[in-house]
Amino acid sequence: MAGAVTNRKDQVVEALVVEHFANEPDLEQDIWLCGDEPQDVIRLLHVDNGTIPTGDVRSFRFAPTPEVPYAVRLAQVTPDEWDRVQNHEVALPPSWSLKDRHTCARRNGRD
Amino acid sequence: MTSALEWGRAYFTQAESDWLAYRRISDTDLPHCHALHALQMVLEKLGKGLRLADGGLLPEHREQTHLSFVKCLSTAERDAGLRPFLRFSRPEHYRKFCRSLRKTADALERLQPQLAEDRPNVEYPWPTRNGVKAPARHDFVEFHDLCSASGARLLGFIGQCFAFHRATTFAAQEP
Repeated sequence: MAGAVTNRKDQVVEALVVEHFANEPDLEQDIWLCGDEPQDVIRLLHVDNGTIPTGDVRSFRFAPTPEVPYAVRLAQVTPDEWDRVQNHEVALPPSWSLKDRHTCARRNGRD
Repeated sequence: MTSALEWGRAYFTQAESDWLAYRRISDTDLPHCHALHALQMVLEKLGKGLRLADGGLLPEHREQTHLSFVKCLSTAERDAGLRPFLRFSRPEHYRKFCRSLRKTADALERLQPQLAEDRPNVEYPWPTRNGVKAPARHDFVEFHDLCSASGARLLGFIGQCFAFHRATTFAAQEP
């Protein structure tokens, strides 16, 4: 059952990522931060060349929909901010973790 | 007589409170119309507040005007203070960024009943081919569009707009 849930979530994330890349030419990476993620939530970090550098990472929550039956927490950083997040110079939102992440890059596909 | 700046400040204050309401509502699983309604309110009042403050909107016209936030985006493109605040060094990148927000912002502002007329809106039921539909039962395409890179960009921009104009346009003490 747990596997079925995980597979369903995996498919939903995949569909979200495909849609994001299709519609957003400035989106470089879509990173699914599934480590420590609650079962009913999807945490996505956009590495977005077109966004504002704010110096921190703020997430916005979107309630579930029929197509995406999970709450989506979406945060955005610039490529430079993403480097700083990985170097632990900029913190992720509370309880977010970099472990067990899946990185989807525009050209290279999923890691 | 109440000045346009005072009106602008009051609209800005209300928009900030609506923004807090939006953030709270979006932390729930309430029907999407409620979060969209709060966000549409944010855009409307933030747009009007900024236009009142810069002279683009007269206080006596404040209730008749619509799509104020989208109009503000055109002004923001030329704002020499906002661009460095948002850390854009190149004007063309900043212009491109501002223009990238328009489509989503325009769609959100058009969710208010007066503009939507008999189409889906975030407040009142509307007629359909089979009867009448309530906003709480509608699957808003605008919500799907918001849950995207451009939607998140718009939300980030709104947050930064409040920070910038709180520190500049509306920095003076309230009367």
